Amino acid sequence: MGWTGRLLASQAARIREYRLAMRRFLDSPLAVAGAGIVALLFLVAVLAPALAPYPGDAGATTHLERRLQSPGRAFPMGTDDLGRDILSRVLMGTRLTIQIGFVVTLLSMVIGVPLGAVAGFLGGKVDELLMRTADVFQSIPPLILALAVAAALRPSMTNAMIAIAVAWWPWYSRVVRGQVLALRERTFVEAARCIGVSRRRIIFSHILPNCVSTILVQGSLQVGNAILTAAALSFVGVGVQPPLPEWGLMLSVGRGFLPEIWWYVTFPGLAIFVTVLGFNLLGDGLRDVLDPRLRR
Amino acid sequence: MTAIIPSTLAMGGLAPPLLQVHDLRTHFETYAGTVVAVDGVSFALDRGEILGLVGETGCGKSVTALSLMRLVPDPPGRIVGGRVLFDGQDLLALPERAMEGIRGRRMAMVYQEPMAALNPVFTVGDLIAEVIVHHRGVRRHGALDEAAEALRLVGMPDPVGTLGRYPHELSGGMRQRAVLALALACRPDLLIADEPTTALDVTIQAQILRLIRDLRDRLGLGVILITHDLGVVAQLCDRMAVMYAGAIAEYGAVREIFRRPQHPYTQGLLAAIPRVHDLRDRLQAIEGTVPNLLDPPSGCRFHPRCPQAREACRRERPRAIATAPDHQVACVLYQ
Amino acid sequence: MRFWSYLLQRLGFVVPILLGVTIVVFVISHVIPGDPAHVIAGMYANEAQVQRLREEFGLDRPLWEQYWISIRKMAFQGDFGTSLYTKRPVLTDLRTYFPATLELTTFAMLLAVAVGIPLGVVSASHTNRAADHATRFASLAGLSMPAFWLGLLLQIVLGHLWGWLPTRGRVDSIVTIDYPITELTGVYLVDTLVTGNWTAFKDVAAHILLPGLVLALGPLGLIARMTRSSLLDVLREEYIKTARGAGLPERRVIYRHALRNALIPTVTVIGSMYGFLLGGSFVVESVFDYPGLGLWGVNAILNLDFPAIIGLTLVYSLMRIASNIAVDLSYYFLDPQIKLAGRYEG
Repeated sequence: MGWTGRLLASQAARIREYRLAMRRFLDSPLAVAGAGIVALLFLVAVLAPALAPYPGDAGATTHLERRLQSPGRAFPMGTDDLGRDILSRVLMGTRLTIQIGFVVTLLSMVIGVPLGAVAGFLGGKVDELLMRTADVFQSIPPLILALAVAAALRPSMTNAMIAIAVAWWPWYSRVVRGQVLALRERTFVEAARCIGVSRRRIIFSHILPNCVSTILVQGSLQVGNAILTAAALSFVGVGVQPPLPEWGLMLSVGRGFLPEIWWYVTFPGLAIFVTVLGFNLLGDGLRDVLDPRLRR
Repeated sequence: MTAIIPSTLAMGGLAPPLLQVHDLRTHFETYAGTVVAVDGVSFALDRGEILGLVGETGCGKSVTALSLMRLVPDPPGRIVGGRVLFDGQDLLALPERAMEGIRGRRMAMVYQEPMAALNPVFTVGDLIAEVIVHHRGVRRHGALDEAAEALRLVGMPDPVGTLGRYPHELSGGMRQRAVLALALACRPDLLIADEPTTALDVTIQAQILRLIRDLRDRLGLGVILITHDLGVVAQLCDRMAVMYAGAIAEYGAVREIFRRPQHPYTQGLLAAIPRVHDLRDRLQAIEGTVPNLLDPPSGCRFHPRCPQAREACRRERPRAIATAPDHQVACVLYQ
Repeated sequence: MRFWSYLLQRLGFVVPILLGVTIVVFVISHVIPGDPAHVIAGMYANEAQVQRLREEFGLDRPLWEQYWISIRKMAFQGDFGTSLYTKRPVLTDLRTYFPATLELTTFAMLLAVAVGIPLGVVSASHTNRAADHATRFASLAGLSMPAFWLGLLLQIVLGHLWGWLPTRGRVDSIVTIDYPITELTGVYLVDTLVTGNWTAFKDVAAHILLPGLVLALGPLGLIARMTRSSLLDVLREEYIKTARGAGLPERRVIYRHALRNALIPTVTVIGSMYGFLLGGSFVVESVFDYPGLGLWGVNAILNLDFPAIIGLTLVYSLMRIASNIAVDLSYYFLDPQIKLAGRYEG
């Protein structure tokens, strides 16, 4: 079999593997549900202005004449204290939530993955130092750390995202470090070294690509955490600021109108729950499918 | 110590066989399709007989053994057909509770990895005594005594001391003895040993094999010894069954088969054993590779690799034919 | 090896980690913009007053000096400084609020373990069947639930709509007047039980139920999942085949042979749960007005109350370390290889 033949054969093998993985994924109702929810979320985020009956309500407009109306035909989720349609705000808030989830996750990855890879590859003192640092960061409950950072920086959406990334990066480092440690001893690394490939290239071009699935799984599992933490920060007041339609923020304001005005708190919270649940189901399903041990 | 070797090779003879397997079939459902792991296997075992089940990795010998004990993980495995008559009773038709009563008590199994076969959080004494208590209803104190007896039986130095040790405190050979003691604690009639020595040093291997023969002599155990090592079969076994791709290619008395191997696969296996006095400079290997059980070759499973393959081999599955009193072959050549 | 030497080994790491934590917190709270002197002085103070406050609280000294001073006072005088916000010694505040949080988080943890582990076992023994899917969904749902949302919902439904349970605070003030609680440990459930104060006990229990439940949900999900996956791993092991091959009933194989091994990694997760519980208690306490460290801590952070923040972090770190040590100690009992390390050569 010639060179091209072998290349095609290995590509065919990879396609077969993906197909098998896809079949396994589709076999799990929970995973499929998660994927469905996330897909729906993206759809809503993209189409939000079209779907929302009052897209303008996502901002600082006020319609005091229709404040605090209970859910009904005109306003399926009721209105808030400034008369804004809660359904529209929830729908528009989807964009914020997804944005936060992904930016935070990406930021954490950008910080955590290279650090973990370098620590795992170089070992020794560098590894010790980096791991102790991660240890210290991890020993502070992530919510508290994020709260502290967010409070110290002027509370805003951007700062909240930075704060959460600061709290969650160690998880990526650990996972990547573990993978790199395992891969480091493999022969293809030794072969690359023999040829004289620079250490940096080995880490980034040879080892990291093999960690992709692990990083992906970790990421998908962490998006949910990121969103929850962001909502918690907004709930306490140091996250996203009004008038943005962030769900946690709506909960924090709506709390003041309990217990009679139940809809203000119920619907945004439901949105958070469903979103995080979707990502967790998806991440869980991905993990089951990509776990090499489960491959027979 | 008297040695009474019960009458082996009682074919069509006086005592009914301890175990009779008729057309056993076991499948595995995977995402890539159905794997036919055991495809119509039949053989018999007398009391006190040592049967060697030989074949390359993946030929289905371990799955056969697991099927006999009904330990095939379900899902994805499933025993889809056949009968397993143990002392006259069809094991495949028994309810699970009854089967649990047979396992460990009337038939027992020992595996390849003694390192991993013992639960690390319990002492050897705990493990063995538990089986004794469960099957015989003896109280714990008496059970520990019997456990020490079992350890003595398998030649463990310091049986009483071993009772209080954890598995990781024992060496490989001692662990395999402990595993054997566990299996034989209730004096079963049948022992299935799945490659019991593959993971051990050569010197320990010899000891364990001698031990197995010894136990057969003393207890009248029937043993199914699964191995890929023909040397072990020659030394220890009375009868042998050669398996390939889930089916038995050749079956009969060991001496008979070694002297006159009839199936081309068996011939290939025997020819592949390097001999010291041989002047050939190339090892004789069997061409080709083990078939993919997801998509096995048509007809006789061996035909793609068989030097004597004919047209008929591709078309039909050969059935087992007796070519001599204790010698059966499943090959088109002899039909 | 001997139990005490094992314990001592573990304790050796405590001080360095604590120091590390305090440094991080100190740096974070000082390096970023935000001037606590202004916060204390209030909106109407003029520049001179702010400056005086700054000097008074030593906020104008260089960073490392401030750090060294506070560490020295903590270690040698037990003086954690005075809260810039409540104006009380931090130590007093800690002593007041800590037991409530301890009680709440321990209650939540026990609940999570008591429900989570059986759930995980059920899930693992019925893989891919309905029970498994249901428990996996429930675990993930627990993990995905925003605690503050659930807390608020439960307050509405169980508190106001149906009036079954109280929704605020730790204990009814009327009850404390009629049936005063003797503070032995500060953990009210224990104190009332020990002194036979049945009425107060019921009241405290009623108050802790909702916040404890909400707090327990996340860890419950995690513990269930961890138990499931480690149990599945263990069930693949050779020694499980041995146990089954010996004819032991499946129930015994799972609960006696498999679970003990599966608990080892699960216990690790349980230990790390404490960290999450502490973080979560922040939110839950604020939703339920539960007078614990969480509530106090949120205020400390929002007000950039440095001494309080440091004291808080220390307490949290200590708790985490304590739980890590507890986990390590439980390994000692669960895993014979640790007990015997040093006894057997090779």
